[in-house]
Amino acid sequence: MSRPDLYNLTSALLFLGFVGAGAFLTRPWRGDHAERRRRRISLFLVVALGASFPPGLLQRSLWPFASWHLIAKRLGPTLEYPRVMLVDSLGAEHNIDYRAWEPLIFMEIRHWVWWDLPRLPPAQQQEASRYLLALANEGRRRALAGERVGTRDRWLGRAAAPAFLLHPALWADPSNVPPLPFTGLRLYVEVWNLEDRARGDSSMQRLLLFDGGQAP
Amino acid sequence: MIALWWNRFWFAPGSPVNLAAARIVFAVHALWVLLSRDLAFSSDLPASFWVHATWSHRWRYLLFPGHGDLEYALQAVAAVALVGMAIGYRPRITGLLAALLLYHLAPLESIISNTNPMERGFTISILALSVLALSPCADAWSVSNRGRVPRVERPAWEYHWPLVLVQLFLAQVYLFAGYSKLYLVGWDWMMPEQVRYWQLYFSQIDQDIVFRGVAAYIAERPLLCGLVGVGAVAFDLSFISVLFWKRSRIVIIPLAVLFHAGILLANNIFFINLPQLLIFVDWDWLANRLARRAAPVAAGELSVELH
Repeated sequence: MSRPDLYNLTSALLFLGFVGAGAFLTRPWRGDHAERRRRRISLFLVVALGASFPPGLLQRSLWPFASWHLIAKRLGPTLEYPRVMLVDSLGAEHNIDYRAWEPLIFMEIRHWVWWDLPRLPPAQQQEASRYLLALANEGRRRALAGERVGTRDRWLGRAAAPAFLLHPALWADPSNVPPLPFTGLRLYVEVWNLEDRARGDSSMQRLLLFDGGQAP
Repeated sequence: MIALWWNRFWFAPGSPVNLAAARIVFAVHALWVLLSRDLAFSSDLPASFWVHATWSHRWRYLLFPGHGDLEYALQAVAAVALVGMAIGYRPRITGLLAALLLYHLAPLESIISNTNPMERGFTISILALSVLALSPCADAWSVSNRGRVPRVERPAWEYHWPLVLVQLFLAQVYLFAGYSKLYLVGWDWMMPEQVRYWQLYFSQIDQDIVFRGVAAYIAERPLLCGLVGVGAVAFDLSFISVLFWKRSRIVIIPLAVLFHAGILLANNIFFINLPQLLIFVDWDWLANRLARRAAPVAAGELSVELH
């Protein structure tokens, strides 16, 4: 068994153990008295502390016992930023409105396009990019028709919970929606210097990592 | 000595109302996030999207692609269970069912890129619902008892330990968020240069910017960068004091709201657990105060009678 498999197994057993221990130790027992019950609950509390503190202290997440490492990394002056571009039938490139790929969360799907899509076999790349183009074209159609672009707000409207990272609604105004259907998907990694950009220098390196598509 | 402290910390007299409020907060919060997502959708994605999910990931969460209909059904059951938990209907069943279903469904949000769905909205809810399901959380403000006085007689500490445990889970978010910065990066994380890089980063990534200006403003001021760095870590590490010193909540909870508002405006990061901070409010005290204000004459009469 590989290390990730062991980690997955440990995480699952830890959570099941936590719930199982809780259900067993906190239920009312026949002939129980307060002190004995308190001791059993104390045992469950020890299990809860033993399950929740090590992932944080050792920074090894055993979800749902999490390490909570939020923005906990060192940043240098050079930044690599993935940019997904949609290509229309005339070859023009457009930024995507994050809602067009809902119900997929933009942060997740962008990461997948960056890390996984270029590494897939060509047939799977085509299948995946066609799928994403079909979603984006449906979102574009809805945006042009003045309909709700995404699905996140389908039940709760404006009260729907946002995702972890906020993104601009680029197609909020129908005049900003690309008029032609998308036929291609490109992924660039843009590299620039944070300090230079702050001084107004907008130069950057743009590396094309993926170019595929053809909408159905 | 340790046993004394342990008992005082976990088994002090608690309030059925505050425990019921925690039940409502976590159930409604989880329902809010669930209704704002379409987790089951990911199940029917083409197989190439599931490259991250190895066999052990799939067994860990019992997630197997291509079962969208089943996942939609489970999503609906989870929503019903959360409604049941919110109204206090058989919490041992509805709470545990909701927790287990959310444990299964939550990873669908991020499984295409990350098999660890931390900070997607359900992490604390799963743990909290599990604990609350095992507690007498429906003794007040529930379908079986709409009032605040329990109909079942039980020791008051039965209402205390579950609330403190779920509060601890929430406080760990801050504790480990601060600790991880020091553990993984070191003291440098708080230095003005690092904070400046982070603020420049958040002011330059145009696909992730809704609120503009604040990050760039901070980045231009080294003193402010230093204050933000030290302040953020100090706040994260000191948040846990709300568990040991209740009076600190009057300051720390509003500060936490401001802290997250600042992060939202500067870095466009939404802390989805924010509404869960309501579990630190003393609802019992608040309800008593509101009841007294609503019926001052009746309360006055009662007070005279008691004296």
